[in-house]
Amino acid sequence: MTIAYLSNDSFAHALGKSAVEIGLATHGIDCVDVGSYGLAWLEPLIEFDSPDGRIAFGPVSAEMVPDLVEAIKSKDSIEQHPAYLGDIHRHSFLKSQQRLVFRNVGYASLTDTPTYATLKSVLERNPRDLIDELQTAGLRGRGGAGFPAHIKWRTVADTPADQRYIVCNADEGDSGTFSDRMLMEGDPDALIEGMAIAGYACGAAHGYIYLRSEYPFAMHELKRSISRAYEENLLGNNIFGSDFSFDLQVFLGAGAYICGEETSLLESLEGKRGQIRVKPPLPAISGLFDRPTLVHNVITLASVPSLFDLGGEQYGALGVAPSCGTIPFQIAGNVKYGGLIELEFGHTIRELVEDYGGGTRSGRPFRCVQIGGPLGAYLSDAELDTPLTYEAMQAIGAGIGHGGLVVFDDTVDLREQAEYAFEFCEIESCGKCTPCRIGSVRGKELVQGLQNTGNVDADIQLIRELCDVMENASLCQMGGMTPIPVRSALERFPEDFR
Amino acid sequence: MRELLQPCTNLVGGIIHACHRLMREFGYISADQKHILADIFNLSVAEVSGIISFYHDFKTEPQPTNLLRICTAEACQANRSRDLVAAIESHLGSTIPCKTADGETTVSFVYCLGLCPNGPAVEINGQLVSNATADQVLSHL
Repeated sequence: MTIAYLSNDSFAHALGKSAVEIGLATHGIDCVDVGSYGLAWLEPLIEFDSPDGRIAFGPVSAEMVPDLVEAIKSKDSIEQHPAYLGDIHRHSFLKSQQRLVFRNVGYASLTDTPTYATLKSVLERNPRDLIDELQTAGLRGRGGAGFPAHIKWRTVADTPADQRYIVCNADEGDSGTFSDRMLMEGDPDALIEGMAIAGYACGAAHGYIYLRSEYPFAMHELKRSISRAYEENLLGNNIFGSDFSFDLQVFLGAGAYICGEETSLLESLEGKRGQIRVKPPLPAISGLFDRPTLVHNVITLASVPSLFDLGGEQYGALGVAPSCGTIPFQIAGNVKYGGLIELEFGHTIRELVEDYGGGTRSGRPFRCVQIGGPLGAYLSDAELDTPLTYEAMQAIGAGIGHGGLVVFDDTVDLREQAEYAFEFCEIESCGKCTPCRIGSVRGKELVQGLQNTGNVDADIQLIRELCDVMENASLCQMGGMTPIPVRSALERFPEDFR
Repeated sequence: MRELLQPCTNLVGGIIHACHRLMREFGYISADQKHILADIFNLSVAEVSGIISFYHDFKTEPQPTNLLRICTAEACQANRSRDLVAAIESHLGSTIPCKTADGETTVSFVYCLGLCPNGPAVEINGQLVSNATADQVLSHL
């Protein structure tokens, strides 16, 4: 009986996974669903067991299936098959990665029952020890702001309350980012276990995963894993026979980018319009239903089990302090080899774009890379040697954001991109504050008008002033960071605005 | 109707769950249903309308059977999604978002399907498609 491990990630679904699966079934081969290794151009990727470990093939199409099955069964000249990849772990894209958060993704079967061994071991420790160890590890929020996680955890734990909450921000809406989706589709248990550990450390008995509605496959996997965890008493009352109880639910968002902002997310979770709240109070003190609430994004929480397995000291030694540990970067857009690259902090942008990405997919010259989603800076070739740390990126007026890099070739028009940045803010603004609600509209009009205006310099000056207002007077980062892509385009690619 | 929605009142953010149920069941949320929601969740009809209008996923008019969404996010733009949109708009003779002439398909945009290395991405009735071409999309219209 031959077993096939077939990627069940959205990448694979969007490239014909179902047809491949049906084809294999007609040849008597059952597929085991696994996540994606993150080599997006090789999806759908399939692995077969062999005496020397798994052998990978990709990209596989339905038309290829008869030949492939023949090759696997006869064991003859498998290497000659056009989709043959061999041991995927020795693939140049994968072998130099440092996978901690994504350690199981791609390999582990989605139907295997997990053990939550890390949760079991930490339940024997004092919650305070865990927060201390988190501080040693130097874990920072992976959603974009890079705020030290231990400060949030300690604040939630220390704030007197009848109820505390752990909320996972799974409203990953930035273009060029898909690490949250891949994690939830490929190893949802890492997230669930991380949330339970956070619940134990912070004294919270309830958790919610706020998932964006654009990710139905992630919803399916999360629900499957949560109900299995309840069956195995890895969630629910008296987990592992301890005094610790933790309930977890998935909440489906309804299509609003702004709900990735934590206070807007909390409003939405309470069943209201997703309009942002004025801070302070911080959610760690007064969050969901005015109770202390730990809000982290998916990757931050999913980092927790591997962090405790490795130990705070070792985890903290990775990267370039104070940017500690590993982060799953995502390289996308016009790039030959796109996908997920988990590395410690400190590698340069060029390594990702050129060594991993292999240059543009179109074959045309590289023009720019946008880092950190729609509110991230457009960077030119001159800045590609910047190391990817929070500090180095801040120094050039950019950020890491959610770790997404979008590559553009020389056909890009940065004036169009600046216009789009304002337009995106216009569409997605929650409307609560004027600089964001109105500034985005006026900004779009100004950039559009540059083509016809008699006085480009005066209008560009006006756009800069508008950016200052939006940056300084917006209530949240939606309006506050929209100037980043606009200014970066103006400064680095001024010729596109003339 | 109340039987469909009542279980949502026990959930955190119950009204959002209830709206999702109505969308799944009927494809839109009618004026009558707004009143029922207001009653069940002890809100004013104005508050219910405010919630529904905030979220892109909730509709207050009947929707065509088919839904085609084209990703317009930056990573897809880097892979010529603007050209894809232009080709489809010229075929349809109107700007997206719009309905097809036969009224059977809504064509609209989506901001990011998380398929960013393999753009342009589109979604056709829930089915994801990477490296989408105009011919491929038009065959569904």
